[in-house]
Amino acid sequence: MYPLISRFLGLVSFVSIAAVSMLVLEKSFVFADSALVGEAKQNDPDANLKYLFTVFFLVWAIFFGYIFFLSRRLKEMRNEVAMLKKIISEKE
Amino acid sequence: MKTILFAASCTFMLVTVYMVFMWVPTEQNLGVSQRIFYVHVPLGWIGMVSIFVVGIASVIHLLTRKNLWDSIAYSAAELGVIFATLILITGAVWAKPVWGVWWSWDPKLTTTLILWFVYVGYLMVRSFSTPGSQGRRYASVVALIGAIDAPVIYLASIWWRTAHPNLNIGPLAESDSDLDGKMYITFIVSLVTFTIFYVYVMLERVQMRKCEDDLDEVHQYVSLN
Repeated sequence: MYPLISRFLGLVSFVSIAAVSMLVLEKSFVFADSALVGEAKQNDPDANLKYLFTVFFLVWAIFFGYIFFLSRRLKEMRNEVAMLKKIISEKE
Repeated sequence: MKTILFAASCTFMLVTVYMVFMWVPTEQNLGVSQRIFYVHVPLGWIGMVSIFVVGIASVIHLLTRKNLWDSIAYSAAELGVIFATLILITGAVWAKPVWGVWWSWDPKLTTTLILWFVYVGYLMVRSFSTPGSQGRRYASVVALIGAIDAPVIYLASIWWRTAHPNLNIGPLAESDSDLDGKMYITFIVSLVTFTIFYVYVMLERVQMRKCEDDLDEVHQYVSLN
């Protein structure tokens, strides 16, 4: 299941990064409801985008890291089970 | 059950990303950085829920001495430390463009940092104690102390003067919220998404923790015989 989660998180990360990159690169990007955007921000819609990007990047990176840690632990446990089976069969 | 949660988690994550980046309007004063709110607040919610889970599971473990409750407490603490770290990081990154500083000793920030130390303390007690029930009992006491911190974080913006806005979630949330309709819907969807994700990862981690305990028992059995 963990490789599946990793793949899914990868997909979400990709979508997030792609969306933020689009906001950064596309200067003429119009937000969903630009009427709500203040005059100052309308002139510079991508102000503070780097902070938004940083937040999404870090959140997904840490989630990824944790899932990676879990998948490694699962692999270690499988190895332990195999080792224990071997020890028990040798004793018998 | 877990498959349903996994599918729901995937779907809601994608919906949330779409809503945060494409659907929700940009806030007038804070600009694009306000979109951090849709990640930061749900993370905070999970961080506080998690310490309650650790506290309640620890109390039940102390009363019943059943290992299942200890596995739940340990898993919730492990997830809690991740979410608490993310609250602090996302908060600091949001504070920079809004407040002009990465960190201030604001009551809410300080009490959240204390929560992070409690989570780390819990895991340290567990990892440094010898296998057996004593370390579990000591860690349970740490968890109970930590559980007191959660309502303090929640009420910090009421009790003290803080740079944080009014409460948007929970029993004391103000009914006349400052959030626009679309913003409020996005916020609720994000909250549901992170909660489902938390429940799913929690179930997986508890199951893995039980396997770890079983393996330890088999190791002991093999070494004794």
